[in-house]
Amino acid sequence: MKLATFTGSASAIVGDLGRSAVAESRAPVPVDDVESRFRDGDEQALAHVYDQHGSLIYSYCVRRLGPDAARDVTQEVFVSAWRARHRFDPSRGPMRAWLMGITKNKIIDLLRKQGRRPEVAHGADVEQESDAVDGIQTDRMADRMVLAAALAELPDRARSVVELSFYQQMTHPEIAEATGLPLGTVKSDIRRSLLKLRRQLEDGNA
Amino acid sequence: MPDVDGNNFENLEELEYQLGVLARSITAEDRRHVDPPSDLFLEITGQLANDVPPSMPTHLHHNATDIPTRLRSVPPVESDDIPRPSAMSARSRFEPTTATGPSSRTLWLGLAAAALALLAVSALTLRNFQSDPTGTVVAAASITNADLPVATDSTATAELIDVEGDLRLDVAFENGVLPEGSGNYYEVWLIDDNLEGMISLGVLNAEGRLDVPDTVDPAAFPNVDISVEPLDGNPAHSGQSVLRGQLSF
Repeated sequence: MKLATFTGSASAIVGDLGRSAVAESRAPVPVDDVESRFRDGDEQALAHVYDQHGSLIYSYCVRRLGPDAARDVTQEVFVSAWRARHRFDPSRGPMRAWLMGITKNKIIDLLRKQGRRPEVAHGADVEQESDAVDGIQTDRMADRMVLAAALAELPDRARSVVELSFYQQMTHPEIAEATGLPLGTVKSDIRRSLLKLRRQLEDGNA
Repeated sequence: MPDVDGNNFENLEELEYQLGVLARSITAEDRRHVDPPSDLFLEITGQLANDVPPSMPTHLHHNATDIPTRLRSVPPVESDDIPRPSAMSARSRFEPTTATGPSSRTLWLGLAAAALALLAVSALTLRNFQSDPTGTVVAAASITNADLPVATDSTATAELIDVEGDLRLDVAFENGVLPEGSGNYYEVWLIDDNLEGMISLGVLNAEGRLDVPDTVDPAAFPNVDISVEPLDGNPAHSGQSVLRGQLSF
């Protein structure tokens, strides 16, 4: 069948119809599910992920590598993460843990390239060297930074309860008495929070 | 982290203890987040905007890389730094967003437009197409210049290939190449028989492979059209078709 030649104005209209038809037939994705949209290739989700986690990644890199290398590694982390987005599954683990895993691998690569041993966490922050018990892969500095961020994200009541346990080392009955909350509430707040915190510290996508 | 069973109360006690120890060692420096340099996100998007299909032969690169309009597809790239669990086949495309959003996104689209303006369209020397052994040819078209607004001696074939459920269109030139143009590029479209809808598959690069979105039924858009498009940022079809043909299924 022979097609008529498109005129400029007709094709402009046809082009818009064709494109909007394609856009509307895509399956809807929850608007607030940034991590799923990232995996699905939404470029706006990359910007959100960078806004959410860029500072943590960069700060960790600065402490381990100094500001110059930190800039390069941070860039590589987000470029690599975007290119590997199809391999990230939000149901397996949080984005932050996945990004930190990528970051650690890139730091190891860089240290090896520089002839430094990644088994010992060299870096700008000399005081923290002794914290890297098994090297960068199990870097306690990274864990502390992530835990601090994850604690700040807990709901207010749960965070208060957890902080009494962590920092005051109170028992659950003591916490219940101090807060006036039922013991069962204290225990369930603690339990849910511990599971959340552990999830943040482990890379389920590794 | 200790190996704990989350459902076991005793092990949660151990987890509570371990995390408590870790929490008590948190320093002020651990809580302090320094923002990366303000131009870093631009560098990231700039680097991603330059991604090309990994299988493009390097000897076909000219001064500029072929950049799909609107960053249509940045293909996944294998990297040793990324842990590899089970394989996933999800395809992804950038869609331009028209809603207001963070300025970093605006920078990305602006960056893509600026990069596109620098694109020097060079002669496309498409290789003779060899069927991908892992894919199935589901349709083919002979695409010719008959009665089209832009003249050329080139002819081509297009094949619709199904690779494990993902569709792509392979365009291969049989004789000659499309004319070199300055300030324009070639775009590939699928158009329905009613001339009511058309879908852009993107910029025709030297490899000649274009992904077909899985929301598109190519049987409903069986007409392959290649147009000459100016670098004016206007996504609509220019009306300047140079090659066209209909897929036979």
